[in-house]
Amino acid sequence: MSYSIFNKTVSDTLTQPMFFGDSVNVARFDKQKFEMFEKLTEKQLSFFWRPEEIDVSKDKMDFAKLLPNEKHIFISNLQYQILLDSVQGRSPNIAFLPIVSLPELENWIETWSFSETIHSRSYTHIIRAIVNEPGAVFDDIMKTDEIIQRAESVSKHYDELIKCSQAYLLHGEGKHDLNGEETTIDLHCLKRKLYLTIMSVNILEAVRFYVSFACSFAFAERKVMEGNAKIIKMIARDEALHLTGTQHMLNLIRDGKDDLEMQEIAKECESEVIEMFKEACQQEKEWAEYLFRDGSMIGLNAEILKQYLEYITNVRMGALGLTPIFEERANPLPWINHWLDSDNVQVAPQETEITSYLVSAIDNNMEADDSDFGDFKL
Amino acid sequence: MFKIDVDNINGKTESLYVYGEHSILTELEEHNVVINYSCRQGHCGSCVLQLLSGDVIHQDCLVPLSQGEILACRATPITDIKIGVRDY
Repeated sequence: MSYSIFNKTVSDTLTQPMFFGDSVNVARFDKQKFEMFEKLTEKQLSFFWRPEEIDVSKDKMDFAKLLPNEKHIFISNLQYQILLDSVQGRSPNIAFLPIVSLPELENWIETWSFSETIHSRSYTHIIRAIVNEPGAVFDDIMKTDEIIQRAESVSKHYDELIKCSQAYLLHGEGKHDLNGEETTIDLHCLKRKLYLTIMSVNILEAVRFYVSFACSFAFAERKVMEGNAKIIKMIARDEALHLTGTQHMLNLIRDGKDDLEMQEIAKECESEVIEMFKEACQQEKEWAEYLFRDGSMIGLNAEILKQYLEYITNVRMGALGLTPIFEERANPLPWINHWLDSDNVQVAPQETEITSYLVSAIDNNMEADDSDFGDFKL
Repeated sequence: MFKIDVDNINGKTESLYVYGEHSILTELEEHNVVINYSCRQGHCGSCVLQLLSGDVIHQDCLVPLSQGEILACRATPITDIKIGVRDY
């Protein structure tokens, strides 16, 4: 068995599972098993933006006036965002594309990962604008232990899935020598790794990212670093779409609408998943301590950020049908919703990014029970 | 101002008075009526509610909705309305 970039087997994609079925051949979107992924792709394409469109020139002056502890918060937060998007700009492609079986899902994964590369480019745009030596900020990422620890926790599931699925695609099921280590590869175990990886990506995009967004928007609430916040707002809009993608995959699996073996795995893994949320939350709390080690800033401190972390973790778990693990509380950072609600993304009318402008939203059909013109007489 | 009658959502039955400038989700949050949500952009369907009476402006969304269903994050009241949890 070996992976082929164009599988010669003729199969009906409507009957294939999302992953580990027949690998894809013709990229066709005339029929879809799960239309949602096609909608997500269309939406993401309609969201296309470039960092250079956003003016960050005032941020240089703002940054110069920040206190040293605020500079540490801002730069460290940005470095963390750079790390997360560096991972997300490549990993969905490397981990999921070789094992995907539905063309519309394949297309979504590519579109999703591409949009993450725009985010990565935007960080360079921001850093170039605010510091004289952008290279130092990037070089520091690999020298900062706290960030390297984050890299380990966000990439470990990806790495494990990639290692085992590559072995599976090359050699099939069985015992294989992987770098001198005898490893048993079986499909059930691989599917389990896949499920946990999708969950880990959901946690990354739906929890970890939102903690960093809170820090970015907290500066802009004080009317400083607003160019940065505008960019992060565009990134947050994309991330809301991405987290819907992983949520949708996980909910399809849980509801048994895809692969029934995966549904069993989802049940088996429930306690492990809860531990993953707890662990991520704890790691992010430790990160909050690191961010605010030299002092807090107006509007945000480590304690409030931790409360938000617990709040958003509960929200995300609820969206996956899981019981929230923290005490129910109101959003401790209610102002963040102003930045996260799509209504507030400012666009010029001629550049409107409302999807209904881009695709025909008005159909030509008159339904018999359409009462809009009921009292109309010629 | 418009009245939003909340009909037994998360154990709350009360009337809210709003200017119709924000989404129903935002209004509910500001009045401490807790509902599920996730993306806040009409993609995920977590905040679906049943519109029992009245009219709303509903922005585009990715979620297929049945008759009377609205997404709280995409709907803004344009009359007095009554909302409840979705009928299954």
